[in-house]
Amino acid sequence: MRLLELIFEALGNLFLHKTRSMLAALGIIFGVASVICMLSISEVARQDVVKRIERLGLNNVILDSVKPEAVRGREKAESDNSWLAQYGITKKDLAVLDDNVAAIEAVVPMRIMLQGVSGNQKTADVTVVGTKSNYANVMQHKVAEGRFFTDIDEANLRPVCALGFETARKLFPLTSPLGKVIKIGGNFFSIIGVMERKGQLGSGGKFSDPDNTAFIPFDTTFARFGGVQIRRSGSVQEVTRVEVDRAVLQVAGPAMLVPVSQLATNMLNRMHKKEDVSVTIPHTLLNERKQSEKIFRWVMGSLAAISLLVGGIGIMNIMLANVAERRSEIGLRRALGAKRSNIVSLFVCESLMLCLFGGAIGVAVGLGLAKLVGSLAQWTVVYHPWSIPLGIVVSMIIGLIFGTIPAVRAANEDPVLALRSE
Amino acid sequence: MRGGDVHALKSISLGIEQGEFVSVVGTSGSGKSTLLYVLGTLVETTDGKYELGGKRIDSMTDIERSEIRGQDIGFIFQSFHLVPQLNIVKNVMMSSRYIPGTRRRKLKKRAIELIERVGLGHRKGHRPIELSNGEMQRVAIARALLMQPKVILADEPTGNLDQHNCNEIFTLLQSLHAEGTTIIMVTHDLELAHRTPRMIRLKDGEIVDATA
Repeated sequence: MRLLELIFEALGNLFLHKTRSMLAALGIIFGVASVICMLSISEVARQDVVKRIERLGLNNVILDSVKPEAVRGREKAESDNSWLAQYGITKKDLAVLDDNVAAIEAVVPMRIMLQGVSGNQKTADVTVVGTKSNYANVMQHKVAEGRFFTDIDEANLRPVCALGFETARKLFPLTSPLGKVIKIGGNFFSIIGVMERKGQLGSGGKFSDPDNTAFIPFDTTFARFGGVQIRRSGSVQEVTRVEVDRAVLQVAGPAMLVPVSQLATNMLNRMHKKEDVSVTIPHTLLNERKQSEKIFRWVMGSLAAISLLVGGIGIMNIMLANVAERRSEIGLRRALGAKRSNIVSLFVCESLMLCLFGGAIGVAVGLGLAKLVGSLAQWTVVYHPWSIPLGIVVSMIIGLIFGTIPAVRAANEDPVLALRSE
Repeated sequence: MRGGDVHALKSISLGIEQGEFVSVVGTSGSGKSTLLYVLGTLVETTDGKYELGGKRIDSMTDIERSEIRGQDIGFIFQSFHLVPQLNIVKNVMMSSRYIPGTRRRKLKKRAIELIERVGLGHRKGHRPIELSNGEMQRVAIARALLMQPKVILADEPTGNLDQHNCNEIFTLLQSLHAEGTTIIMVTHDLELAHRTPRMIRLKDGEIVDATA
């Protein structure tokens, strides 16, 4: 029996029972659609997380000032009082690290404050980051317009700032902000630059969105805003003295990341009595992410396999019903000279066609669903390159596996009993 | 022959020459249909010897017997067994489907000739559901003839037909026999059986009467 003839015959038989075929294919449609959708969404999530981590700089070690346990305990005990909490990285710590660890190529301190900013008759709450002139280079945050501040600006404590992409758009939606003056927490600053869009950073915490930021020279923050930060919440007034909220240490190469982080941790532990500094290596985060990705893929794969299994069982049920209904036809085919293998081929081909049809629709539905989810979540949907062939191949494998049992049952029918079954 | 613990056929010794028209009669359960299906290689014998055209059928594998059925045997059934989704031409051509090396164009031409021969030339594109019982049986006869088999095995070919159609179908079988086709027909219609040149009567799986 010719292959093309077999395919046309199988399609004809399926077309004869359109509703039944459609219902049988539903399981495969949803199974394949969920596989495609999950692949696309997980790909988007993966790329997003990887980008966030990479934006921190894969040759960097990140030091963050963290509130020590002792301070937190005191907050709970004296929640109706005011106090001064002093902790975290100091300028002196960074100078010691820079002087003593040769593998550190650059140190970028950051003082991070949430301030109300006004200008161009608009106001916005933005993160104000006091940092050094090497920030743009180390963090690979490029300047879109104008310039970033220099060592001279810093040395002269000039009131200049560079705006993050979103801050500039919020305050100056129609005009260029360059040369304009804005008010940051009661102090006037001249805008000298606008940064390119950077995207979210993977670390979270106080500084995770460099686009909603205003960058000012590090020493200017002390000159203009003082050394302490006061935060009021109801009757509670929290006064903190944290010199450096975050410091980025750029090292010579990936091989130096772990040694430098260990050395920095040891040195900071010696210099600080309390544990108030956390050390993060983006490169390690990326590797950890790869590990968790493996687990995630297994979970996703298992879910997809279960839904496809359910679809496959649906196909098998329909094919078994098909065989039972067409016993007389099976008997006739055997009487006309069909070998058992011919009967198996016919029913497996029908099952394959059914699954191929279901798989093709499932791929389309899955891609559509991924796009829908992407637009609702405002993601740029990334289609996994293997999703279409994978969907088709998986559905065909299911057709083959779950179609074989009914097909073998059909082939093993006693031809005489089958002929008499009508 | 065994069907579970029951011997459907016992001590059958039967020779049928090429070109004969033989009817097999008997009461229900006498084994006449079983005999036909043994001859049609659909039932495997557990004992004894069966030759068709000089070939030993009883020692053949299932695949070999399938090939013999496709090439040397044509079946006509009481309930026609036409495939509802196929038109008449495709139903007739079904018997060539499992024979390797058949030329479709040539077979289609022959199928159309046979359909015209059985008087259904004007209904070539029709499906079985659009035909009467008599017409469906004629399509089944055309199907049985397509591969020019050595023998036609007819299982109650007139069982579902009225008298008029019964006569027409039997006349068609007689004309095929006149052209040299070997026909073995199982029937419960004694009158029809008496009109065949040779009649075999079965009882409890044994031949009790054979008239020529």
